[in-house]
Amino acid sequence: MTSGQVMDQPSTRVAVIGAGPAGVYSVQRLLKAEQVAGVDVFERLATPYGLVRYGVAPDHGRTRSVTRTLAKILGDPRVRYYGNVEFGKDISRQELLCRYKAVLYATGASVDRPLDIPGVEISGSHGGARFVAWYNGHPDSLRDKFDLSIRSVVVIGGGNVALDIARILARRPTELRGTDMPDPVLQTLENSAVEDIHLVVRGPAERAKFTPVELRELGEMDGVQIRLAPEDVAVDPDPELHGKDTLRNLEILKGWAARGRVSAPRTIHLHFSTRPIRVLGAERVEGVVLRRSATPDRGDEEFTVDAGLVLRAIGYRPTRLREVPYDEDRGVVPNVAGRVTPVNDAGLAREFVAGWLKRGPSGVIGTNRFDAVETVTTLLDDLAGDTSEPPTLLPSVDQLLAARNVQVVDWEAWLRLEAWERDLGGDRGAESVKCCDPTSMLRAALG
Amino acid sequence: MTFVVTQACVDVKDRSCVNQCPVDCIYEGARMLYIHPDECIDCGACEPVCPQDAIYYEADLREQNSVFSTVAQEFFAEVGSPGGSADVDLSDRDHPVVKTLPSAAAR
Repeated sequence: MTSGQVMDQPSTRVAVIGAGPAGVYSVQRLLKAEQVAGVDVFERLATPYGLVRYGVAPDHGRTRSVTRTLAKILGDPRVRYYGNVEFGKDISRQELLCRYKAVLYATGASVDRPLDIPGVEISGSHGGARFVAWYNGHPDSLRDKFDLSIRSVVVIGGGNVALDIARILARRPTELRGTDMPDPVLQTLENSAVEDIHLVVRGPAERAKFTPVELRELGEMDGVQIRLAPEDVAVDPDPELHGKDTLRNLEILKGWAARGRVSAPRTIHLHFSTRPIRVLGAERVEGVVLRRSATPDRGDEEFTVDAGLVLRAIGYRPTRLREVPYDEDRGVVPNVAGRVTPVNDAGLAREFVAGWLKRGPSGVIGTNRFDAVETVTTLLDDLAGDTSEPPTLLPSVDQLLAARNVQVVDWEAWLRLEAWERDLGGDRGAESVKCCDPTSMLRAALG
Repeated sequence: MTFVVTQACVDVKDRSCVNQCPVDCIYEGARMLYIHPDECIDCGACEPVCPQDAIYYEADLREQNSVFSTVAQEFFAEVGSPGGSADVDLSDRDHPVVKTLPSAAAR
């Protein structure tokens, strides 16, 4: 060191695991802190943005455009992007803790919560997250095939993911050509024979977790009619009792219930206060037995809906991270304000968690920003209390990964992959088109 | 479609929404906050956190508030698209309609 100025420069780098909204908003906040020199972001996939890329529906282009904001953050010169590097496999928790003062987990929750009913394992019955990953071109879904040569589909779930699935199944494929769906997915939807989509919602209409914006969209599609029992929405809206969203949802649903029956190529049937009892079928799914809750006027009703495909969108849960504490019951990494517990004797931690892995799968993209601020504030407090020298263990992360022949996709490589996707889009008149084959993706990124 | 800040924000400017917005598209004017209609990504994070209940999805605007959709459009027609409110100061500006509104205390 030749001058005090150099001594004063911060040398602390933080590792963030996961490049979805929670991870990237954590990076944004970390970069604002004086004591942080930079952030290294490790992402299992070659591509950044997590569920913004692989969860948000492809026909929601405006919401997807949040990637412009996320790209600015990840493209900052103080950030090193390590795409295609899997935590717990390519690099371990201990290896990171020996090389960074703080590690922040933000790997989210992107796999299906199980539904325990008889017949759920029959072929043709799938988790909704899996279907969403498929239509969004997630590399993990490369081998997934969904048979849409059937007439009727049952979608189980009362949230926006169930709405997304119903909407994608109901849309005219011409409306989807301009999205970034992979070609094989688009072809499958173009050849779809689906006419009836049954949305099965466990609770009553006034407890549905749909956001009004997404619900309304369902009724605005060409060639789609919506059917629901007027008694399901007969509840009187009560501003004292119901939140703003519920009041809007009821208004939308009542409007649909009042519409006369029309002839439309596709019908979405909404079943409220209804739960699945068992999936029917031998080799393939043939239907679902449903039970409608009793009302003051009648008892429980059991009925069967024919279905060649059953999709259960009842919620996400995280994939466990190797060697990182996990609360099985709550489906989160145990934490206090983002500080992974238990903490060390000094009450400090070096591991932190943000986003869905921290608080469970709820909230919208913006919620993760607010949430990341809390975690990073905690992290910076603990960093300030940690007076030890920054770890400089060799071999470095780069050397470790190189020795293991990990094909790291850095930010430049990702930009090449992104440009390649834009080229693919040109053929179809779309801004860009995804390819879900990891080999082709790596070739485009790394040459 | 976009989310729109309405009259209930005028002279209050609670700003809770600003921290929720994932794209920093909520800008602070002199008397109220404005959502940039082209920068908003429709995520809806701002709407439930407003203690004034001032934020609405455009399609849900009631008669008395429908003018605020135009207000936002015209406000930003003049400002342009800064691409984020973090480094922009518009706190001395308002749309003419907002300027002439009676103060909250007088309403």
